[in-house]
Amino acid sequence: MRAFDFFTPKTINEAKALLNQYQESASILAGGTDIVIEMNEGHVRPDVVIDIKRLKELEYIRIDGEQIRIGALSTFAMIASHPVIQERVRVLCQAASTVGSPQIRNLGTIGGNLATSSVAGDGVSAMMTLNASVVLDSVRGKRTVPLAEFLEGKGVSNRNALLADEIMTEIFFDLPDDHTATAFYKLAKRKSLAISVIGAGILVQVDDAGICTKASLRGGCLSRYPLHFKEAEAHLLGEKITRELLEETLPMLHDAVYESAKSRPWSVFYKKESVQGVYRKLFDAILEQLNGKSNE
Amino acid sequence: MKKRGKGVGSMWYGIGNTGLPNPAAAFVEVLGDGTANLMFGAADIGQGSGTAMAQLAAEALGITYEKVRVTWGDTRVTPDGGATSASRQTLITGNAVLKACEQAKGTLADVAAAYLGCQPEELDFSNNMVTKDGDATVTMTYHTLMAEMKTAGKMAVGAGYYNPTTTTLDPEDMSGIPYEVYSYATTICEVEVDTETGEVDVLKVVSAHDVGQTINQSMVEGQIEGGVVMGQGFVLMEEIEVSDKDGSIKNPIFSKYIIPSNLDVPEIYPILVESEGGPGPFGAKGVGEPALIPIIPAIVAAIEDALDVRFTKLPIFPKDIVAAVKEKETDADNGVLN
Repeated sequence: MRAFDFFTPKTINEAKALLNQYQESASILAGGTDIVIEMNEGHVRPDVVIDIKRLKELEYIRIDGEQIRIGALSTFAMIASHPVIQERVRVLCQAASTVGSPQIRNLGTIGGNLATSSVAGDGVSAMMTLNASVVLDSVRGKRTVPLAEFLEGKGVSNRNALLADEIMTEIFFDLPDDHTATAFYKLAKRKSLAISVIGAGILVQVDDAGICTKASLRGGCLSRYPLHFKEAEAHLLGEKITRELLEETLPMLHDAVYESAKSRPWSVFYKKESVQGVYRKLFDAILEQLNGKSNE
Repeated sequence: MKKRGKGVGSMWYGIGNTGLPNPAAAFVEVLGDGTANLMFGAADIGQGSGTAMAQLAAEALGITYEKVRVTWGDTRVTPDGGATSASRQTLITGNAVLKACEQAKGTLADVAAAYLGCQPEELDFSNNMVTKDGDATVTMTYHTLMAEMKTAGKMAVGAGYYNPTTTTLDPEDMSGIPYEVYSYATTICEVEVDTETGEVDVLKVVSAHDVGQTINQSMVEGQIEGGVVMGQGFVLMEEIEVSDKDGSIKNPIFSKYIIPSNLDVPEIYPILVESEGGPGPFGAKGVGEPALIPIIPAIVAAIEDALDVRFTKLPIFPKDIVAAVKEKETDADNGVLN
């Protein structure tokens, strides 16, 4: 690893001033579970490393009316053990609790996961399913960007919209209500310390009559950013949610994965078939949650 | 859909090559305080041979295990133990340790017999005491014995080596008696296969091994459990990817060469079967490789039982399972009978 200058700002303002000063020559270190490896392997060669781990002001999970606001430095362990997230945001709880290993979940942060924007980022898939937005801050001021737009953006690293002087401070999304069910399934080569083969999320909201009023299906590792199953979502919207209806979307998932991944013949066969098995598990979870609620 | 299946694998496995000379040696000295220094070359690669040899020496000398100090695998001072391979160290170094202890014990027995007024062969060495067989009143402590040794100017040292009878094999067809003793094992397992995602959960494993004589129960069970997990990786995860271009290994790191994690480990029930006799120390055989072998066909058979499909190459990845299930469905649609 080559030499670099190392800063440990204690306030967000200090951090922003450093980023403003060093711009693209600086890399941000949060949990370090991605950047340390990238530096060790020489993929990233910063002149300056800004360790933001001491910015305790970015470590929080707040229920703010109809929304959940999560500080970017919240670890996967914090998220997975938060009672409201466990109860009402299962897609995020399950994604957070299957990241890496206990050690990685104790260090890795949700902000870091989104900023790294890996194809296989489980936090990315879950947050896309929840249609989250991110807050980016700099000496120039704050801006709020929908996560989808953030991922499509071309910022300093080409991975996302984050600019050289910006730091992600917060992620927020609508708190799923009593009529909403969510779930996540990680298909991987083993049960821990595994990179997802598919990291699939689902969110379904129904009205009092069981008619679908909102549907979100996003599959990680199936395209550069979580694959948006638009056809399946459209098929569910406005219809009464039943197992039959949900299973009618399986060929749509198959076709969407095939279209997305057909240029990678070595993986497309398995992914287009297994995505159906993965979503069948998620449908089970959704129906159980929705039925449980209607029985209360 | 999740389907369950069961499978059985059985094996016999040779311990102690006899085709070529195959020796190992050990040194021992019982010191004035009734402790012993034990030295041998066998490398402990985690299987616990250092502990097992200390237990064998303690048993042979009649002292408690804690009194044995082990120095192993140091080529400056320890005698050659040969390779820790072929599940051989318990059998071969174990016998060498017993021989070394017998030599030291011969000197001890002469001195003890003179002190107690009996014949050396009448003596029982156990629990840091020397006692005349059948007469508990004729007894002395090791402490007294070592004081007597000092007075007599004698030292309790021993050296021993063991070599399985070299039979040589027929140079034309390699026929003959290739091993001194054989270990036997049967492993049964149950798996759950997800036919859509190809995920295989190994649920429960029972693995029974004829170990001859158990030296250390926890360690043998640990070896069996470790072997089961290693075999699970062999069947379901581990593949060395070799470059077609230059033969280099494409996945020489553990983020790409996947082995089971703790969460993948099934419930494992080791069963130790003790058989009579045999040439090993107190009849012990080896379990290092036998622990790994029968789980492999057992898991394959369990998957085949669950899916009614044959697999002819390892590892069996989830994609292979999904492909096999699809192929079977297609055959069924086309009226092909399996």
